[in-house]
Amino acid sequence: MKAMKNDLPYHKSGIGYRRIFFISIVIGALLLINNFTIAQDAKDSSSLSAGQMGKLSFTMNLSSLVSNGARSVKVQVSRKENKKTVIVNDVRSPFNLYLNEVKAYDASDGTGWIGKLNLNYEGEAVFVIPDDFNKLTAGLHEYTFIVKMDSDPKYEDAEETITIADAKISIVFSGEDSVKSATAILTAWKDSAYIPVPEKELKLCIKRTFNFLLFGEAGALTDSTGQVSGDLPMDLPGNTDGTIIIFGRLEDDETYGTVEGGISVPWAILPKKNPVTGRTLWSSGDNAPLVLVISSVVIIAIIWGTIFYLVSLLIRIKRLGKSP
Amino acid sequence: MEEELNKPGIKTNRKDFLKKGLFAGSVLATGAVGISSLTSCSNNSGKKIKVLTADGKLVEVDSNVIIEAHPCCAAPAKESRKGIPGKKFVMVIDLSRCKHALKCQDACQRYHHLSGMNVWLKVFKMHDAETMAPYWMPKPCLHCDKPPCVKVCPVSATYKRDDGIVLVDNDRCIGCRFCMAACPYSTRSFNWEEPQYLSETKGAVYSPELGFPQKKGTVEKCDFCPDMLRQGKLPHCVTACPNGVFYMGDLNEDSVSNGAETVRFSQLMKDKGGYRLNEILGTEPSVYYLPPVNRLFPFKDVEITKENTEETK
Amino acid sequence: MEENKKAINETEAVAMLHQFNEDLLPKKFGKIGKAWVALLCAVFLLGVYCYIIQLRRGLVITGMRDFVFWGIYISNFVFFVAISLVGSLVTAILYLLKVSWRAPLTRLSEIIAVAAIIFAGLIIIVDMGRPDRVVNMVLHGRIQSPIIWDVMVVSTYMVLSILLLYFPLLPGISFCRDHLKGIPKWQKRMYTILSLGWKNKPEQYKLVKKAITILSVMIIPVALCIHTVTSWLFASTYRPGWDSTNFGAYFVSGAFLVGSGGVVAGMYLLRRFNPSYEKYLTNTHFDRMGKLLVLLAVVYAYFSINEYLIPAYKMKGEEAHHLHELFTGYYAPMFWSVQFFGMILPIIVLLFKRGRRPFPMFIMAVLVIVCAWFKRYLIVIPSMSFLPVQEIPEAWKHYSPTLMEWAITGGSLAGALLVITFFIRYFPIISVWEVAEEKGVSTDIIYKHLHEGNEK
Ligand code: SF4
Ligand code: SF4
Repeated sequence: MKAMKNDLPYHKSGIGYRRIFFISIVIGALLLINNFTIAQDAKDSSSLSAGQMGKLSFTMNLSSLVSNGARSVKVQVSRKENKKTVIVNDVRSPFNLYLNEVKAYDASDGTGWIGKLNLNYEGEAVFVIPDDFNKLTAGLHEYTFIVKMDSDPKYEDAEETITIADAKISIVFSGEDSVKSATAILTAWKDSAYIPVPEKELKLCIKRTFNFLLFGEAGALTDSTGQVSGDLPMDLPGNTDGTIIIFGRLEDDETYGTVEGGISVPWAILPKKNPVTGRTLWSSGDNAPLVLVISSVVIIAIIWGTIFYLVSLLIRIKRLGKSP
Repeated sequence: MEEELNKPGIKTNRKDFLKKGLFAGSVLATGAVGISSLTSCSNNSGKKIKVLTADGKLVEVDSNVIIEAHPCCAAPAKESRKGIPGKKFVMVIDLSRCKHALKCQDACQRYHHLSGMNVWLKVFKMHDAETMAPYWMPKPCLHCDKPPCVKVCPVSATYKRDDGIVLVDNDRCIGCRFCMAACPYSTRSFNWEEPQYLSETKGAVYSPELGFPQKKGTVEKCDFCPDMLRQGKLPHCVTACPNGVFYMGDLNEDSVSNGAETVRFSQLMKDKGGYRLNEILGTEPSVYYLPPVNRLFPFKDVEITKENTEETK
Repeated sequence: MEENKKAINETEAVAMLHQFNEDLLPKKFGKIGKAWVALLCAVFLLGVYCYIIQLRRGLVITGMRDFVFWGIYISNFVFFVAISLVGSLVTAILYLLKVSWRAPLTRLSEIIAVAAIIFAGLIIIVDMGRPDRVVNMVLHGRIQSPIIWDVMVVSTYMVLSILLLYFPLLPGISFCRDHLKGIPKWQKRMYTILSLGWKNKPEQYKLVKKAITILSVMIIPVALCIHTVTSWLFASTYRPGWDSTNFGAYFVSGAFLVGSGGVVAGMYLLRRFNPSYEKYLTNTHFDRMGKLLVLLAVVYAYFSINEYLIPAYKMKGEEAHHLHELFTGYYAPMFWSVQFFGMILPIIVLLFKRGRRPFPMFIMAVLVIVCAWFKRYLIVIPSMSFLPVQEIPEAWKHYSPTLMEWAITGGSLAGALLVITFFIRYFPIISVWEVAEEKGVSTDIIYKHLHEGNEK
């Protein structure tokens, strides 16, 4: 509770915040009980307590991502209200994730219950499948993920399944110094080996801060060898060490989900450095322009020096008064 | 790097929650699933987790620092003065696509828990002269490179970071409102009274990167959502706009993205004739506008709603 | 008076000194005085009460909003800073110019300056959203910010003004200490402490004179600075009406005008309620001050014309909007009456000798002061209102101060008057030794006899 107290925004200013403080303790306690789900719709949920009305139903939307072998599953939760889709982010009970079947965790092959988690404020939750599982389930080439939610006071129980076949994307480069092209190859597990997948829309991407920049021909489909290639832009700024992450990406495929695979290459130009923010009028106090600092210090020193001298005159006057 | 990520203002109570509430899988708030934000793997035993930082590096951090709620990635006040290393954020607003849907504003209000009176992102009806055609213009803080607002602040409560963002530290502001006088774009608002949504943001630890909980008697404004940027995610207005009006990106990477498409910044400027507001003032904004040519939507006049609907005191 | 200057013999001079001492000793207030103090106290306390409410509820109790975010607190601050400039004008400038009639006016103008600058400092704290964080200005101060310059220069000016008030006051305090009979103990103790053991020694006088000369030289640039820097708070922004290079000179000239008006009004009231002052604050003084006022008003008119005419010639976008509101729009009645009553009418009236008699002078001075207050309002507020900004509630577009705001502002004005009033009650408002010196009494005689009581 101590930590909570320090968080109070008005705790220090003192006037009339005692009430807020008290209320916040109560709220804080509630929050603790509720696993810190921020009670955005507190009013809603209390008026809709299970006894009075039926529970609400919602839709779960599952998607899968395989990124250089790392697997994750995302749940997006929404529901229809007056024919509008609204985000659901106030589900209180956790979502459970199972692999292949709904049962307790089976340590021998990694199936069964994997984990649980709560929705974030955007009504989403992402399961990142731990590395260990990937090792355990290395023999598996088709994954069925089941997400289950039950016994929430406001919402109906729900279950959703997604089945993903195993696929991966690798990327190779060719060409001279100035002209380079990248080729992404999409392969999927069939019977006993990874074989190329034709006729899929494979995107060639460069990783950027917020998203990926596409290059090559837009909407290109993989050929019979599962390949798509495109010329790399060579004038693009990359990371500070001149590297850039290039990858191929298959998006929201029915069979494979989203698959991406890529590699970091050193062919970008160095990004511009931010100009070193020196002593400017808009920098912090310690970084004030020297002219300004020196001149003001000089002026202040002269004036206040004189003031102190004047005060010393007062003291001398007092001394003179004491001496006979 | 690890230092950086370990710091985000998370208090003990949240850590406890994490230990209790989660078994496997870190809970990352992700808008777009992709390498961009998600090349992360968790390890049950070691409690270490790999996270892709905003500048594209994979780092291993203690899984405790990753928390479920939105405030997860805001740096504390001192850290927030530095900015995200190597970045120089720019925004591009395509005026030809705006139809005054106000979704950007709604999202901004919601995620920053703003009361109805303090609007960070405004959408103006531009109709400078009878002879000109009207159009809509969203206007956030322009995060000027030579910000007049920062120049005048007596206590460095508002500051310019190396990554181009101008922030306000709510814990330091003395409420003199000089920055409001100095900003030529009228982007700043003031908390004239106790902010309304205190209870909603109760658990949150204030950070200038978060912008909430608001505090009475201090100034606030659009902050480019640095907590999102730290996670490599787009600001709320960008993701909320149904028409892809807003692009956000890193000038050093020469790319901007509106969520649906990512383009090269220089190319966009060249193709569409980008410009900045009031260049004559010398403030050098970080927000660029694309002129309202070949508009996607016919201009439909709407009474500016905020004007009458909000309660006035 | 000037003919007295040379031919003054010792006995005459001593008699004169005794007379001065008798006339100028602070006196207890009569009924009117007490009623005046009670009124001021009431207004002041009301202001304090409203300020406490403001502390609790925030600045929401004012009429200010995001659109017009500075209101009468700031215009009142500018007013206070302006009026405080008079201290330096009368005490320092006239002193250095060796103007012969300044002595009886110095202390009055200096106490006006001190009271005004103190309340300027207070009202700016009142305007702050987080007064609890003033200390941040010291902890995190940025030398780049005009506010920090303002804080430094205002506090420097405050100290200098207090010193300039205090040094010449020392003989007066010690006289009160020794010769005021039947006063409460605390008052006696106050005199004892403040007089610093003054013994009327020539050496002490020498030090005092030295200090006055230093201060007079130093206070002039600082005084010009306070108002110039205050004008920069506005001029350093881009807003129409503020974005002006003329602002420093414009503010300073206006400040001299209102300050002198303040001194004239003070002179008149002193005479009115204590006829024995009439000997010292003579009609000649009024006449001279009247001429000075005309000069200052003309200078002010010159800068005002500069300030409005050229922008009005160019009519730059927003500027045009602003000027239209002032010249013909919402603020036009206030604007023109302020220009007329606060500048043109005083110039006309005071040009005539009959206009420079005490009573008409007093009326003009009051007009100047009141108009100066509203002039500050017109400088601060219209620059923010009426700009074509959308998406804000209609009520935010027009600023009108709330009652609470008026009460707090009124409280600050009452507080400043209260400081002046109490000063007059407890300290000699006219400096005996300076007046005597000005009348040609030799310094030796002053040093020897000033301190003699005349209670025999
Ligand atoms: S738009 Fe205004 S608030 Fe934003 S950085 Fe520029 S001057 Fe400052
Ligand atoms: S209001 Fe706050 S942020 Fe703005 S200038 Fe004053 S102290 Fe700085």
